[in-house]
Amino acid sequence: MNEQDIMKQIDNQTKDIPIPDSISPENIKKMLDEQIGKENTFDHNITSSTLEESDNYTSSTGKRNRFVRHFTAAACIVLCLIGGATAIHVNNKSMSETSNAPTESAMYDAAEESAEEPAAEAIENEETSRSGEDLVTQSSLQSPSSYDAYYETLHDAYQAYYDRLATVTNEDSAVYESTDEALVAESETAATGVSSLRQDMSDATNDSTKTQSKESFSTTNTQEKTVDEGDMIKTDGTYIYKVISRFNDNTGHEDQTLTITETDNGNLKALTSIDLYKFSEDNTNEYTNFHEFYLYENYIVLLYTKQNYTFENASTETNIVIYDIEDKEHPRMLKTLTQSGWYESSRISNGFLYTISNFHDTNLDTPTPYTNYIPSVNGKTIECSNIYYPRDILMQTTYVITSVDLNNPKDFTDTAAIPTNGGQTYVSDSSIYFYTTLYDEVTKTEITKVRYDEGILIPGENATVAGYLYDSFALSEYDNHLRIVATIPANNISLLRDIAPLDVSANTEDVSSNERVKVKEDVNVLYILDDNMQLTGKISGIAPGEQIYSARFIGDIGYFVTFRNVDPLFSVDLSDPTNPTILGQLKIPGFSNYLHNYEDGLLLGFGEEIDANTSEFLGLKLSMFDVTDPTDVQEQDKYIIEHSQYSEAQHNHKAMMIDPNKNIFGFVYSTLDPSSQEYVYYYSTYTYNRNDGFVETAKYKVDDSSGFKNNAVRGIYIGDHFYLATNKSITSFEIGSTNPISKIYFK
Amino acid sequence: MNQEEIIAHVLLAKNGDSTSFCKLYELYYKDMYRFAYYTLGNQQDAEDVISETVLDAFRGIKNLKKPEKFKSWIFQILSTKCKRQIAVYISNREHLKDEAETEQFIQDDHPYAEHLDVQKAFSKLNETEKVIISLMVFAGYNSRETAKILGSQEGTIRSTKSRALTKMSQYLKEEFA
Repeated sequence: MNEQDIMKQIDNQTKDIPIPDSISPENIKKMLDEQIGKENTFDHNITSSTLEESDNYTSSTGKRNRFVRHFTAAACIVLCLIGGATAIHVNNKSMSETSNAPTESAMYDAAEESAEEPAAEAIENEETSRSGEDLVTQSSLQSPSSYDAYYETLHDAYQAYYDRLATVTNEDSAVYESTDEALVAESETAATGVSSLRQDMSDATNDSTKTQSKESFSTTNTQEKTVDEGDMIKTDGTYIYKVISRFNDNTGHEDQTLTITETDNGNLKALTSIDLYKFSEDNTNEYTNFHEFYLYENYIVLLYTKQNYTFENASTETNIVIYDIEDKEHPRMLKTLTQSGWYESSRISNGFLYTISNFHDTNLDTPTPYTNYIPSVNGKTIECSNIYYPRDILMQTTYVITSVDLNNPKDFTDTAAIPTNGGQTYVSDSSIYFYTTLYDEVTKTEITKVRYDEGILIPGENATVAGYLYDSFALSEYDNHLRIVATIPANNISLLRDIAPLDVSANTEDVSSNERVKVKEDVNVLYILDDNMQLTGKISGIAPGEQIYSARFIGDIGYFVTFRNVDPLFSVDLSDPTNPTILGQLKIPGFSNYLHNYEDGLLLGFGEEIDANTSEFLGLKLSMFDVTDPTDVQEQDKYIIEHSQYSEAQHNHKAMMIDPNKNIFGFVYSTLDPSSQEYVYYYSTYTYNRNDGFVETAKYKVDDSSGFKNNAVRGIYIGDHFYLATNKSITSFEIGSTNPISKIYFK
Repeated sequence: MNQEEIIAHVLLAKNGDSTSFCKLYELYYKDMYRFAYYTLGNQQDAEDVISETVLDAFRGIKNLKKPEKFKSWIFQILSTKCKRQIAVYISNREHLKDEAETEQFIQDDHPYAEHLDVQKAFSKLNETEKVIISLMVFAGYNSRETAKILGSQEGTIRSTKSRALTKMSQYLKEEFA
């Protein structure tokens, strides 16, 4: 059964579920009229008294306080003016709080300030009273003294959460109406260091010890140069290693196979194929999901998740399997290591493999067995000293991080278990960052930092920033500082103290609905955090009304693209972490999903061309930006791929083959033939130079169904040859030629 | 109801017109209930979160800046409410025990017994998985839209979805075998 079928089955089986009469539209209308009618009778009185009181205020407390109070009042007035009848509970709240409301002039100032701010320009927030601590909160992790103590901590945290929820529910939802609560209320003093944390280590060295090869060849396109990422294809310049997964008609499951192919200047020869997973009728309870693999020296490191279902119980385990491939025709399985949870991500840095899995089968019914809430490595429950929990321990899952010395892969070097929400991973050359966006009253992203050095894991601090990150390229660590670009959704702006002033112009009298939309728009923020995850500097209010589509940090300069109907490429000077400044911006139609430092002074953008007037999609686009002068970024060249629709490389950087030294890049994409209305997949390779611009050097049709699947089609080059690999075959060509030299099909 | 009519009703509802609001509600309430029922696994609580959602939505609709987004907006409110309710369940173990007993009780003569299979398969999912599957199956969102509603990443949604569906299909297979 495929996913669509299962979903259809669920849909069908649940379609005619009986609907209780109490929620029929008729009864709901009755309820609404009763409820709202009750509230309306109070509404007028409260509204007018609030207004009067605001007018008469003269007292004020500290500056910060005043600002927040002021905003409450402003929001209240806006609601009264526009919202009409139904603003009751906001009014109720502000009633008790307006006793500290601002002077009339303070209000006036704020309104004026925001009126001066040009809508599409970046706005720097300089007022010292509005420090960034409200946008960013930071705390440290700690370890439990015993499993039982850990159980107590977890249990109490959930109990407290439950109590808090009970009050929240009674108070009515604050989610959709502006108050000064939310993130501001959560601002706390930074936690002090915790003794159980390990010593800070010196920075990791970045020397990689990869084997040298006579010819150049492509490697997996990674976010950080010195940190390797897994993929479904790898090469060492002589052999191509690929994992293929194919649907087996007999069993109805996908079989997964590791293949080794000799390239020999385009003369392909299949050497080996190892079955990684084949569905077996004897063991229907077991299910294996293969994720990716690495090539390290003479080892292949495979990563997969194994799930075991029994009627009462399900267990999920991440497997790390190391093969010795010195003898290419007879690879030898060397070691299997396991850790609890679904495979999440991994990296190789400086000879160590770091693997992250996600243990979400937490069950707090009873204090024992410990395995109900504490994950294991190699079947052994993780020790207390390796568990690090944040102050706010409420979590959906526990993340397990392990390290393995690949030069001596006997066992895990180190382990850490961190209960957190953290879903995605960004790894710099010295730290692992988990981040996840929480949809709560305020959309915020929680980031947990784990330093590493020679396999030793040093869980550190945890910071929460307002807004969401578009993907891992929104994060970059450089010179011990973490740079982050985030988008803050419009409906959150009023909840955040620090950017609230942007919103205050909603206070103006005759707000036509259009204008209101303008000031209630998404904004973007750049944060810089120091080594301890404390905010050092930020730029807020960037590009109101647009969302970040891509970012790339190159040393001290950051570039990012926001989009509504034109694509401003921003360049930001980050050399002073306490004072990031916008250097320039360039507006062009369309947007880039991916940015790559092509060579000095050139930044490649890959994305979509969009008609600035009609918002019509015009095709996939390559842009080359001249960033020699970051204050004056220019679009040097652009190239629109005819009839193109979508490319995996827009959202998965590993799908892009790119080597600026060789001046080659390529990716798979789909096209829609306008006459036949058929989708066809192609892989194209390109070069770029300043005189000729982009040149498509070859275009290959993907002749099997692999194009539809993610991670299935990859191109690599070795020396003067290009190899196109799918789930069914590998074909070799001279670079720039479409005449196949040889082709092998996987059995 | 076409897009323009929806927008027109939203604008009227923004001015406090409960009739227009209920016209909009009528479009989606079946899917909303299905969403709540399967996410929470409990009829009474599903009714309650629907009522709460409606009240909040009606009060808050004046803040809805894109009228054409009414559906995803109201599902966003609903999913937040369901998440809170699930958090209550997690903390309140008594509730879970009672639930287990009533489940046994209704199984035999429940008029919609076939729903229980899916519901049981649902109960094998964790909170996030439930919400994601509900949004995708009952509300008909794709992974990109679901990611937007939940403020998550598309890739995460996709992988969570397939993980959840694997769990469910395994369970259903066992049940029907």
